Amino acid sequence: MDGNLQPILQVRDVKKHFPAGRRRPPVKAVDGVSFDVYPGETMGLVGESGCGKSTLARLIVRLLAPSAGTIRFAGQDVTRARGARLRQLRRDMQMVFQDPYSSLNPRLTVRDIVGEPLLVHGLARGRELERQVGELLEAVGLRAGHARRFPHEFSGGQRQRIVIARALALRPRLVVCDEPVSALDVSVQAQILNLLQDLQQRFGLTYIFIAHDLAVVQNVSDRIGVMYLGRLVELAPAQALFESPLHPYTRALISAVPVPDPEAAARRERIVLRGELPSPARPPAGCRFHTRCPLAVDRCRTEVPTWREVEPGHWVACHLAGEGEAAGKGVSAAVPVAATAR
Amino acid sequence: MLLEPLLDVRDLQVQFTRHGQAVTVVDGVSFQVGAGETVALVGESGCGKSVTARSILGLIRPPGRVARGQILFAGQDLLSLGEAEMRRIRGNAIAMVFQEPMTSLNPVYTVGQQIAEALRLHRGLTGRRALAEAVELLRKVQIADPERRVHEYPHQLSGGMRQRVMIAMALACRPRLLIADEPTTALDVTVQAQILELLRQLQAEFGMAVLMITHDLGVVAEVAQRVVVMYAGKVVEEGTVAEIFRQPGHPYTAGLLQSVPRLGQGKGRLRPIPGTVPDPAAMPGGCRFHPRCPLADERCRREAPTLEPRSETHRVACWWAGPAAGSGVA
Repeated sequence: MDGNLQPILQVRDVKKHFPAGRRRPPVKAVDGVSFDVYPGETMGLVGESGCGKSTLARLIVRLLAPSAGTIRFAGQDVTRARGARLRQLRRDMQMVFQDPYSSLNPRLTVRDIVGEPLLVHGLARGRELERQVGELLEAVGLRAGHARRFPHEFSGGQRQRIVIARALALRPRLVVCDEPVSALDVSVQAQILNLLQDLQQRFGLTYIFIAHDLAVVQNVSDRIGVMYLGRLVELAPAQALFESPLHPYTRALISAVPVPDPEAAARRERIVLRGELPSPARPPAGCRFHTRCPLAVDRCRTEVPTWREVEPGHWVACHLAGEGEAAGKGVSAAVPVAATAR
Repeated sequence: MLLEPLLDVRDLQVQFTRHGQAVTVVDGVSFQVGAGETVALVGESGCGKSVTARSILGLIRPPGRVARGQILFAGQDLLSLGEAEMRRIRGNAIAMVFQEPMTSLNPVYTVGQQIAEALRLHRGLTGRRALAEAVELLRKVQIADPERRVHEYPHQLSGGMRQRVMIAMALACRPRLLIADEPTTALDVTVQAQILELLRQLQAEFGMAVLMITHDLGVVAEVAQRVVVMYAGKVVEEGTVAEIFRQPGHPYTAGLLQSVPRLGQGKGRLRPIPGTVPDPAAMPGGCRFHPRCPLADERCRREAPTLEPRSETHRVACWWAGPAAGSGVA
């Protein structure tokens, strides 16, 4: 990103702790996350289930209020917005969810679904509404004539197109996509990923793209953040993240992705992580990844690593990152190819 | 395959009745699995891969029925067996692992009780001996602290551990064939890597054959020796892993391979297959892939191609796939 460009979104030390009942520690779903998103880019967020990525998405669009920290959109504090300012924010930020089956009301026609945001915000009605819905449907690769139909008449991919049309109705500036293609078949997934990229160009959209599938995230993202147990552990330009990942968790994640290429699959070294994901209610002391990290040293067990910029634009939270061999090539050599689950 | 195959599915046809109309969801499927071999059955939702897998174990219930075909296991036609005989095969010689471990385990029994039940039914072990064997099996699937875990309930375990328990139960009777239906689809990638690694190790140790049902070409490349590709209820291509990934003969296989995003290729447009999978109640005539196929011509719309050999191990059902690649109509 350009150094002089102003971020459209600034997330600062955001936390979301969910109470878990009396005498039980709260679940720290998001626990101190900071990053910026620049206009027109796609910021990818990856991590495994329970890492807090979906909670973070909901905090950004203010479907949830953070326990601490600030989120600014175009300079305005999202977390404290009310009244007219909140309504404007709701127009500027939209969300696309994972499941195109449960995110559409089965009793409404496509016209009602896609037109509802326009109606609610008083932006169009009657024939004008009709015209705009038709345009939106065509923008996402459907036909204006589809407006009279109901969701059940469409396939999963087509439904996700309807969801996207609805998200675009208010001409948002930021669209948060939470696992937008993971419920779709491979051949259809590619159609939707291409559509999202086309729409970004056409409407000048900024995306936050959340998914568990690294290959998918990498296909759309300019920069990628990796989350583990409520924290960002690494954030870098997409290419740098894949070519020179610094955090041992990022490396493990990359090495775990099955490659659709039998020769490459046979050649490469796999880092199989040990153990189970700790509970976000009782995250390990020190570095949260130390219980599963093949490189962990004493310091990792006691001292929380700082979130630092190791190279321009490449952030990491690991004591060992940037210390040459220790965190570099050493990882794959230090880890048995198939460690046991202990 | 030189030897007689362990599993030989011949011309399998499965129908379901929907609104009083018979809908054919698996239509003339044939393939083989050799002893000790790993075969991947690949396709998108609705292609019939899971129904095919369930047919092997006799798990098709009304309104579904096997309308035609043979399923030979070690020479014996499973479709001719009664329910009692089938029960002796299920869980003994052939075991199955499903996608969602939470729904396949009983929430009100401990893990140990459930494994012990399998051991009692199939190996006649009871009491302490069954429990001790259950602990051993948990150790085998690399569950840490098996003496404690054996007394826990499914909800106390993570998704990855539950799938390990399912595998432990499947292995309880040393099956000759393990059918794994999307065994890692519900799991995170790092856990998926653990489970695939475990399956590989256990297969090497027990020498069992694995039929892996999956939609994930990455998983196929990691585990399979041979691949059977299904589309709209039919096998469209079959070959070794190298043949399928290096010289795909069917435009559907090629399209699938092109449409997957790959790590390291960076940001950019993908090459999707246009359109969507057809409804089994309204299958296109001729080649079922023709409405989505870039090569389709008049003949493809009219006549259904049959599987034709391209090499000793490679077969393709496409009018455009001659014996040599790209040589046009045969």
